[in-house]
Parts: sequence; structure tokens; C-alpha cells
Amino acid sequence: MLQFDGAIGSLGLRRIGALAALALAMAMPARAAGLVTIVEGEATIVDGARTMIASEGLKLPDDVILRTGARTGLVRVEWADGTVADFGPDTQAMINPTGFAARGGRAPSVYLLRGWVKQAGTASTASGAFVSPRLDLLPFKGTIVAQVAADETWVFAENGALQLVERDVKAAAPVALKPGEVYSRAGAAKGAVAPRPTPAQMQKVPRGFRDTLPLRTAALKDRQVEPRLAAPVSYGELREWLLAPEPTLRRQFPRRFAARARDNTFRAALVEQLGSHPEWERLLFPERFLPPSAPR
Amino acid sequence: MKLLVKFNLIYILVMAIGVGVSAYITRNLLVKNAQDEVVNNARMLVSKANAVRGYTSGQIQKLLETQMKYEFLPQSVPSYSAMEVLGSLLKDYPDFFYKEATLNPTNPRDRAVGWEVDVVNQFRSNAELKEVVGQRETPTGASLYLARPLRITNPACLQCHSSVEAAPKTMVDKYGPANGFGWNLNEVIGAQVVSVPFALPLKRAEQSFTVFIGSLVGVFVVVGIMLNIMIWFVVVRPVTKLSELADRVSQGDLNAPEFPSAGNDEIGVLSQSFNRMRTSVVQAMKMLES
Repeated sequence: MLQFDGAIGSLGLRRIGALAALALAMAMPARAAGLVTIVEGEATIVDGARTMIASEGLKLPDDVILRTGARTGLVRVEWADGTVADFGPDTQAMINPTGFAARGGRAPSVYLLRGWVKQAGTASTASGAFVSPRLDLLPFKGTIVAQVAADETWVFAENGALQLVERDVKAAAPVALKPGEVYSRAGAAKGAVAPRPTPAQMQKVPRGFRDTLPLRTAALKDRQVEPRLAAPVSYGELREWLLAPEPTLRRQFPRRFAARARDNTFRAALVEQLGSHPEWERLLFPERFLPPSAPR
Repeated sequence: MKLLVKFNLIYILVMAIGVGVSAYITRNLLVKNAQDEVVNNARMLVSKANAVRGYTSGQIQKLLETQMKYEFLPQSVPSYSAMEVLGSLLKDYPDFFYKEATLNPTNPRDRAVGWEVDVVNQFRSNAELKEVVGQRETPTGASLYLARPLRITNPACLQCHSSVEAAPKTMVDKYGPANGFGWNLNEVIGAQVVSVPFALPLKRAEQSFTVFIGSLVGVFVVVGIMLNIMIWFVVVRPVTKLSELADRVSQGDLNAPEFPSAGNDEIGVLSQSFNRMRTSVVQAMKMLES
């Protein structure tokens, strides 16, 4: 009985959570789609079951995952409001991630799981900035360069001041950066602000980030680009996301990648690693979640 | 002394005086012209340098602004660009030397030394002075130089050269905090100097002079030879023949022929006179005999 009530209760809580997310989404203004405007090197866009080769003029729906390779020079995504995000090599990021609260009236434009991003706002419009497992960069109007890696996370205020919040620190006050300052933290250690990046940090910044490139939205926004499909994303390629310490995103993955779960190899890997991402269990074994009275 | 010898002696004397005077006047003229040409070439070099400086500060600097936040790029510095372009250009003209001699430079390579400091101070003490052309002695000989002031007229220059705090951090990383700061607007901080060994214009003048004098002497010699030939045919030979006939008549040879006279020039008149005299002498001799 208790188990039955618990099942009903957990079902109710999940419904309330979904309703809350829906209310949250409705409360935020609709976001413009990102537009790919520069692609130097290899990059793919994962949109559920579909994987596309990134190409200039490609419009990006919300929640797509951008993946760049080791030799990628630069991939740029622009928004209609003039804000920009450049991505460097070895980067995994989500464009216009849903489910995150707005900060200063703007939801994050990017979820940076790993890699390099350079974001810029305009004089009149703040960039949505990014969220990463450990940091929430609040909307800003200047330009930042950031790297998120397992061993180091740092944010450089190239132009303009900004604020960020350390997500894994309880009741953390926003950390303010003046133009030219850098926030760095090694792994999970406490972060610190320095007056400027170290030579080693500056040396690592992708070369493509060091030039000011013109915006290309006006030239590309009306171009009709037929997406070029690549092989669907494999479990190994998606694993980092599936195991990401980000419940907001992981909750959505079973729904978004349900079609991939029909692939035997993908499903087998999901089942094998189910302990690492239990949120997939309902999709993989729905029969375990039927009410006791339902026919099995 | 024969007529031709006298003529040639006089001709050589006159030629030597003429060539000597021409050489003196021409040499001075050629040296001045060569010097002016070298100075004008130096002016063009300085103008080239200024064009490169303007292009760098007007077009290149802003393109490299973002990169400069990560790594200082000397290509954004007008002085560096000018030195590089002229350095490359002057590989084909090794006699010329260009330097932006500065009292307090960022790059020690550009520091003004010795006489360059004096030149810069001339510009600093006289705002109206736009150019200095001069000569100086060096261990390898006399040197001609042209200098123009480097004055800070663009406030953008002070972004890198006013104070350490205002300068790009990457620039301070590369060059240190001690050099190239404290500049002020409208201050003369150095001079653009083009140097060339004085031997260069002299060499050019010498070459031109040699060709000119050689040509002049050659012309004189050819003219002299032609005059000698002409005098021989027109004067010396007829006079010699006339003299032989006169000797024959004077020795009683009444059959000596008349001298064939042609033309109305002096030799022609002389031959007509001789023929009349010969006819008179022959008639007189015949009257005496009869």
C-alpha cells in the first residue's frame, strides 16, 4: 500500500515538476534561434536522433548539442540580437538550453559542458552568457573567453565587467570581474580572481579567438541550408552528456534521445550503464513503472 | 718651326685651358647635383616611412586590437612597421641607412646615440625646424644625413607611451616597464634619420665627371686631327708647292710651270700674285737676254 501510495506520490511530484518547468518556460520570453555563421574545421550538431554536419547558415533549434573536434579552428553561432558565441576545439556545448532560470531577464545562451567559448554581448544587449557544471556566468555586455576542463575552469573578462556564480558553492555570492581580470579554479578547488591571465592561460587561447570577426547574420539569415546528415550519435559520443552532473539536462535526455534508444547497440550500452543514468530506466523498462493493477 | 707644329702647340694650349675651366665648373656642379639627388632620395625614403606609419596606425592597429590582449604584436607599432619595410627595401640599396632615433624608446634598438641626440635636441628646441641636412665624419669617411622630427601628434600614441598603467599589459610583458613611457602630446621624441656615406654622391659625381671630361677631350682630339688634316691640304701643301716653284724661278728656270690657282681664298690670291710675278720675271729675263 505504502509502495502504491509512494508510486502515486512520486508520479504526482513528477507531474508537478513538469508543470513547474512548463510554467518557467512560459514565463521566459521566446528565444531567437542560433545561427551558425562561421565553421572552420570539423563540427557536428546533435539534435536528438539526428546528427548534422555544422555548416554556415544552419539555424539551430533549442537544446541542440554542438561538438567540435581537436583540429577545429572556430565555430560561431550568432543570435538575431547581435550576441555571439564562438566555440573552440574539443568543445561540447548545448545551444539555448531549456530548463535553466533566467538571470537578469535572460536565460543562458549556452551550456558549456567542456571546452572553449568566447561570448560577446553588444552595447545595448547583454549576452545570455553560459552555464557550466561549476559556474553560472551572468548576462554581460562585454566579451569573455572561458575554458571549462576537468582540471581547470577559467573565465577572462576580455572586455567589460561581469559577474559569475559558483554553482557548487552553497549560498555563494556573485564574483565580480573587472575588465582584464580572470577567474580561475583548479578542479573543484575554490576559485580566485587575478588581475590578468597567466602566460600559460593566454598561450592556450585558440588562435581563432584572438581576432575580432565581423557579424554575418545579415548575410546568412535568409539562406536556405539543407542540413547534411552525419551518422547518428553513438552512446560513446553522447556519454559525457548522459553522465553530466546536470539534472536539468539529464531529465530531458530520455525524451530527446528516445529514437536512439531503439538502436540495439545504443540501447545495450544504456542498459549496461543504467546505474550511471537511472533516469533512462523508465524509457528502457516501462513495464517496471506500470501501476501494480495494470496488466503486465 | 713648321706651321703645323705651331698650330698644334697653340691648339693644345687652348684646349688645356678650355678643358681645365670646364672641369672646374662641371665638377662643382656635378657634386652639387649628386648631393641633391641623394638628399631627394633620402626625402623619399622618409616619406615612404611616414606612409607606412600612417597605414599601420590608421588601418592595422584596430585589426590587431583583440590579439594584443593575448600577445603583443610589434606589427601594430608604426615605428616597427616603418623599420621593417625600409629595412627590406634598403637591402637593395645598401648605401642607405634608416633609423628612427628616439631619446626614450620602447625598443633599445631605436635609442638615439651621440650625434643623433644632438639632432633630436635641435628639433626639440626649435618647433619650426622641419628638416636638417648635414654632414659628419665617421671612421669610414664623411657621411651625409637627412633628419626630420618625430613629433607625437596623435593622442592614440599615448595609449602605449604615456604610463605603464595605461599601456597594454602584453606590451609591458615584452619590453618591461622602464622604457618608452612618459611621452607627451606634441613632444618631439626622436627623429627619422636617413644616412648615406658622402662617398656615394662623390662617386656618382666622379663617374659623371669622368665621362664628361673624357668626352670633351675626345672631341677636342678629333677636332684637332681634322683641323690638322684640313690645314695640311688647304694651306701647308699649296704653300710648299708654291715655295718650290718660287725657288725654281729664282734659280733661272724660266720653264717652271704656273701654279694652278683655284678659288678666291688667300692661297688662290697668293698663287695669282705668284703667277703674275713669274710672268714678269720671265719676260724681264727674256728682254735681258735679247
